Amino acid sequence: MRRGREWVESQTHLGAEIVVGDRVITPQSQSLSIIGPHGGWAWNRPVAILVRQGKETKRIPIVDVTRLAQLALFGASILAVGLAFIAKRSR
Amino acid sequence: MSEQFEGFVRTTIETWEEGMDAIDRLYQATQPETVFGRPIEAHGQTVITASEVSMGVGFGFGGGAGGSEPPAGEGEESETGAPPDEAEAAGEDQETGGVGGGMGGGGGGTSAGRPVAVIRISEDGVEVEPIVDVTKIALAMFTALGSMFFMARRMKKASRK
Repeated sequence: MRRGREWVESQTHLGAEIVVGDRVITPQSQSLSIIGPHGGWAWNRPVAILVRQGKETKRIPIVDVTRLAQLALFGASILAVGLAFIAKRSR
Repeated sequence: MSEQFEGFVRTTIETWEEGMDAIDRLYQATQPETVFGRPIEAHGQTVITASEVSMGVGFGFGGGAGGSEPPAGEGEESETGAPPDEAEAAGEDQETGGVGGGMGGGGGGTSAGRPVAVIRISEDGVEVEPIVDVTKIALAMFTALGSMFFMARRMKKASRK
């Protein structure tokens, strides 16, 4: 049962290390969970991987190209409608 | 996708405790193991898939009980003048006292997953290759263009008036 947890939680997690050759890969994910007394919703997405080789650690971000494109199109349509509205009012 | 994701998809909720367990399993879904697949080795490379997952669950249970008082003057003669047993035998619709109850419940859930990228680890280095969902982008583009066209047409019509 849920104890000591928030109803709305946003966290960044580090997963178990994966060793491939001389590299150690640590996956990083970000989650958002909304929990109520009769249900809940959770969303989890990959954020980056941390690659450790020797003493050097490199962070490689995981870019969600599909989501970015969707957001860009959504933003463009909002912007276009807004501009058209402003142009109409200024006439 | 991962075992946590599959385990959640195959959940059935029949009792309140099972419902709470399903909510607890939502927390497991927030772990990195849910979005990162197991490393697969092939052709001298190690491949790890990265996916976005979302899942939700909702449930509710309810119950109630009630009783009715026996009709006043039980054992008295009915409207037809016949004694109660005879009236019942004659098919008279006479309400009798009793207790009733019931309970029920229901629930539902949803889960979705989408591949985001593939991580390739080889001797040359580590590469993150994004996975582009062309269908989703095309649908978003058509929706955006449609809404722009619709708004432009409405504004044109409004300016004519």
